[in-house]
Amino acid sequence: MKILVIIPCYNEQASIERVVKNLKEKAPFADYLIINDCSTDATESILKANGMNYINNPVNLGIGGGVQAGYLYAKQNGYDIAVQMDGDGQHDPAYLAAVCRPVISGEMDMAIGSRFIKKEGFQSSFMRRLGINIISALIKVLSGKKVYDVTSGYRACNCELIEFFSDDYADDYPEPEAIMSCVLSGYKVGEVPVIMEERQGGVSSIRSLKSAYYMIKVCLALVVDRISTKRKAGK
Amino acid sequence: MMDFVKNTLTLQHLLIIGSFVLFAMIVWLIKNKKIEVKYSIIWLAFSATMIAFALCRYLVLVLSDITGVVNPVNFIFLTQIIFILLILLSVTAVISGFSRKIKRLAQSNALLEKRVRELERKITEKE
Repeated sequence: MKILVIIPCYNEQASIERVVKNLKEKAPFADYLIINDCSTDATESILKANGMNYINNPVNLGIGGGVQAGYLYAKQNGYDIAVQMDGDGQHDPAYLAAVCRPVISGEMDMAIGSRFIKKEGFQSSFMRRLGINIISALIKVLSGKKVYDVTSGYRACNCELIEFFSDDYADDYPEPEAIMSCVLSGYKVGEVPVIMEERQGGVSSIRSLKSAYYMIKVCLALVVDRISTKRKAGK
Repeated sequence: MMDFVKNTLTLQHLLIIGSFVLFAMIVWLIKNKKIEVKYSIIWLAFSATMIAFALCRYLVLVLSDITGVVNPVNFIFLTQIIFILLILLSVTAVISGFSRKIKRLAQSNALLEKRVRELERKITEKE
């Protein structure tokens, strides 16, 4: 069983070394690939100096395009499972096995590491949770599937979804849209409880001024997904 | 009355000159491969319509009568706005297609760069 951990990273010089070290210690069974999305800080030289496994995007593709490059890599190299994990240290590799388990057993096609099931650890600010709840409710209405931590970037998927995502993956804020398109295409999506940390360095890609745009774009994209995807019966 | 006729005539002359200049520019751009033929179709339709309006005043008068547009020149403006909107929409569609293709190119380039980097490392190790 070949497992690839895809780590999108943009200006994460403060945390990337620790993230990889952590991953190698706590989940030595998995390979990893760092997507350096045209970072402007010292990220690339750190990756190079430490001989890490990474690719350099020649232009900044955003999280969606970056992660999709990871899925393409997973497809080309015949991985059975791909796991996304943020490069800022929010996601503890200790949960990697837990996130992969339902996918390996075939119980789910995509398993999302969720911080809202056991409500432990870093729970994000009130405004963010409000936004997450709105998106979660919208996904429930549009697809019939209740997912709590819709923006979680800690997720594992099987080879069928690797193929699916390398073909088509949403652009700038892809996490909720990916859930939506999976559910609408008849894949089984579920959540696994994890504990998340606060970011160790860098800045979130979703800042206050951008959050209004984020909400509008994501909600619109979900509705567009709903009307443009022909629903398949559950597999 | 004379003023009105005189004005419309001047306007018509301007329209004739303008529409032919537009047509000539489009043809020049296509001829010199500055714009692709497939993207020029809507522009050609635009300039052909404008030439038709410029040469045939009655066409504009009849069409604005039918549609209830009070001032015939407004009908010309309306047509132009519709064409401009269509062109803008088609440009957005073309850009969206491009952004998809560029994303693909960047991704495969990144994956290839990794393979080249690793091959180079292997070669230097052997040497």
